[in-house]
Amino acid sequence: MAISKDLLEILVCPLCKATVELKPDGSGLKCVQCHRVYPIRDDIPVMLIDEARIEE
Amino acid sequence: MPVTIVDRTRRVYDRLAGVYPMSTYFFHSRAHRRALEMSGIHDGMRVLEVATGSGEMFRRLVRHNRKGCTIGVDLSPNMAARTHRRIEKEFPGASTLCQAVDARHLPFRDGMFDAVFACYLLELLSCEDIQRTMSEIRRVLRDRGTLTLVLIGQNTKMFNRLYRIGGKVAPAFWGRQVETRVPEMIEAANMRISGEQVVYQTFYPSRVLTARK
Repeated sequence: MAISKDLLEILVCPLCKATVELKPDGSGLKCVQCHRVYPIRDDIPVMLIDEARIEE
Repeated sequence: MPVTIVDRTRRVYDRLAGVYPMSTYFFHSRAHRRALEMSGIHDGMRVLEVATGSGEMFRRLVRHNRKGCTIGVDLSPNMAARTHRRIEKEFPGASTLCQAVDARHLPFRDGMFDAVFACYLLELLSCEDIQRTMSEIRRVLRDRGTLTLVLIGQNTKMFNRLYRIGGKVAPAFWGRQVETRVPEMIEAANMRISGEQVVYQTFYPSRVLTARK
């Protein structure tokens, strides 16, 4: 999954609206505030709150 | 956890991802074309489509906005993935992103978009969810940014009756006609209506509305 830096900069957590960061292994986007991880499946970010898991 | 209408809608559209483009071909393409004309968007903008479905309108937007950035979201991960694959193949190198997103919780910073589109979405939402969605759309639009909505328009009594029956039998697929209530919801969201047209295709009426933040 290639999310450009420009696109990543406009994304936020859908719940708390804080910044999200691409996980080092590219498997998801992690919110820096609530620590929810939104998975990337079939090359698309699944930014649904009930699909996220909290990772400390 | 109880299954909500949102969950059911997602499941229905996940299953329909492969065949849904037919409805666009027969009923929606003319309204999509008119929506693009009325929106006033030009190449180079940052554009969001909420509820891309199987991606017919999204393809138009990407084609029209090759130097810009076009982002599409849909509640159904299958629909979003399908649109993503098609766009990657058809427009390699274009600045696009498809995501599975709930329209009531948009994952974008404030004021990021010049234009937002939503076609045949509001019919599937409760009044409360339409208000939440409008509020989110307003939040992500820049000042003076444009919202373009395509709604199922009112037609004959027979059409409206059939639609109501369809909505009762399969609410997660058909939804209900809301177009007469939408203008006041737009104004309640602190946006100003700037254009309105009704488009017919086959027997199917669509109402295109544009509004400014």
